[in-house]
Amino acid sequence: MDKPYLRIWDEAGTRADKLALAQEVERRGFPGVWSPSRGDNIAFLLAVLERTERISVATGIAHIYLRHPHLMAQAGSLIEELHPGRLMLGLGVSHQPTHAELGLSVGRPLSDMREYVAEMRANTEGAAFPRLILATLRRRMTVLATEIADGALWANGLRSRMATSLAVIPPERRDDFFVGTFIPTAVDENRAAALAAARDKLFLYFSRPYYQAYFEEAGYHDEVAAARAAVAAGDDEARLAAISERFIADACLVGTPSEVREQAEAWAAEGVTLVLAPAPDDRAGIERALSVFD
Amino acid sequence: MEKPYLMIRDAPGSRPDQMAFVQELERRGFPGVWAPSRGDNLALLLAILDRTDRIQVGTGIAHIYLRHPQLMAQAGSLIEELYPGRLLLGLGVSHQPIHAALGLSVGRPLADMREYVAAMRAGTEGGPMPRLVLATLRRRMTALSAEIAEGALWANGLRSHMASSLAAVPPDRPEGFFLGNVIPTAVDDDRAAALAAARELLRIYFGLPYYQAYFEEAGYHDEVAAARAAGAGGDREALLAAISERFIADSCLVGTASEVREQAEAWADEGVTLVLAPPVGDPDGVERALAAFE
Repeated sequence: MDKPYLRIWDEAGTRADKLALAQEVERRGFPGVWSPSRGDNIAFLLAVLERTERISVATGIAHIYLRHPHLMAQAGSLIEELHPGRLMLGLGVSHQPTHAELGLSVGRPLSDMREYVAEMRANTEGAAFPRLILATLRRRMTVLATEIADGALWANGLRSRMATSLAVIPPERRDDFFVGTFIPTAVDENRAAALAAARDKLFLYFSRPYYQAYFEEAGYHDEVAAARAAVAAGDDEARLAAISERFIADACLVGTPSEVREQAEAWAAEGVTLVLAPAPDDRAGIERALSVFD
Repeated sequence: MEKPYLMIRDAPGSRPDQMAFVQELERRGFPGVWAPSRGDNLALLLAILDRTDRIQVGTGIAHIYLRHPQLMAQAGSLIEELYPGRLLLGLGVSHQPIHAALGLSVGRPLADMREYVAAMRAGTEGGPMPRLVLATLRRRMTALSAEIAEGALWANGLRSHMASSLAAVPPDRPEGFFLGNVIPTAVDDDRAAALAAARELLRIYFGLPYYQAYFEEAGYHDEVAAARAAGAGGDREALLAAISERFIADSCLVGTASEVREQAEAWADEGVTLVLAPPVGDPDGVERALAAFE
């Protein structure tokens, strides 16, 4: 089985350690790292590329409302030129609560993304340009990814739902179209501890309307209804309890190392590249997740 | 005399060459490079820092309307943490015609800049902040830089007017307050050729309203009136002719190598650090500018 990618993120005060972790990932033969929108992840990944030789890096996501499309295009072009083929530029519209927190006024996700990518491509015509990946959950953004990008990235994608989601990819694009998902990864011999770590990782997403819609679409009506009630009541314990074991098994790599390897193989069989999001996201959690695949 | 900095530009298609060129500048003992807002100059400068050991870099400018302030703060913090003390983060509001070209809707420069820097300082999440430098021309932005930043940067500043401009900076400003100027530099033994090159370098600024106001404030009423007349007619030759030799001597390093050194010394006497801006796309002109200081 191919080794998975690892999610690492820019965090003030730990940056030298994070770059060292990326170098370790490379030494241990992992294919690369993905970095979420926190911080300036493009600059952070450029630093990773400068200090490694071979691994790929990707943004998951670069938040389109935080940068003018020309700036995004030129950043991508710069990195593609200095480190050809090593960046996948994952773009996303992020989520309403994040927009509110950042004081952003945004339009409609699909039309904004379409326009943004067109602006980027117009600005870099003839210049080096990285592969573009769109962050998606539901059908329409996935269709858009097949139309204007080179791949699609889920976060907390559901394995039972992937075949349906991927059915929109035209057959002639299947070979070169990247499909990935960030996957909460809780490796622990103690099953209860693994499940608890997975629930912690999923907790945030159960409060987000777009995720709730995706989970419902995939059939998790009871979980979403319970989570909505818990969010309304401000009851965090109830929100955690809303996340069923069946859901966790569908959304995470969870359990002992051999169980996790088996689950990862099932994802590979769906044609999905995995980006491990270790739970917990400390050094021990990261090490347990990586060592499963060494 | 201390060597000056050099302005470089992100140049799609020749970025690896540019990296090598900056490494050569470091070997030749120049203090560093500044990059204008074209492209993602923070990412470009990060790559330069990673490939050099000592030189400093500055943005002149990072365009505040192209990045969310938290993104700018995190990019600055990332670079400061990885390369302590080597970045001067120059911020600017850019100019109205550029806003129009980029489809930006902006507010009032002073209020926007004040709010932006406050949002940045609130957005570093405990990370280190690089020195902030505000791009300025006139008194109020200069006063704001003394209030909220660690330096001020002119572009095409006028030597005869600097003492008056610097009166806006309180004498008790913190030690190490940076005062810089991006200066058109045309080194040529053929005086006519040097003047022609300087006029080309100045031409676009004579078409920008904020520059026109600054040049008038400094007493260049005839030049600005002629430029306004030429600009309205779109007559390039008339615009070039509007730029008097007296104006060029006040705003540029121009002439033979020894004349240019003498002019640079006069700038140093004003307490201003120079960033050479030789003709873009003219490697020989760049080399003559550098050689004047070796």
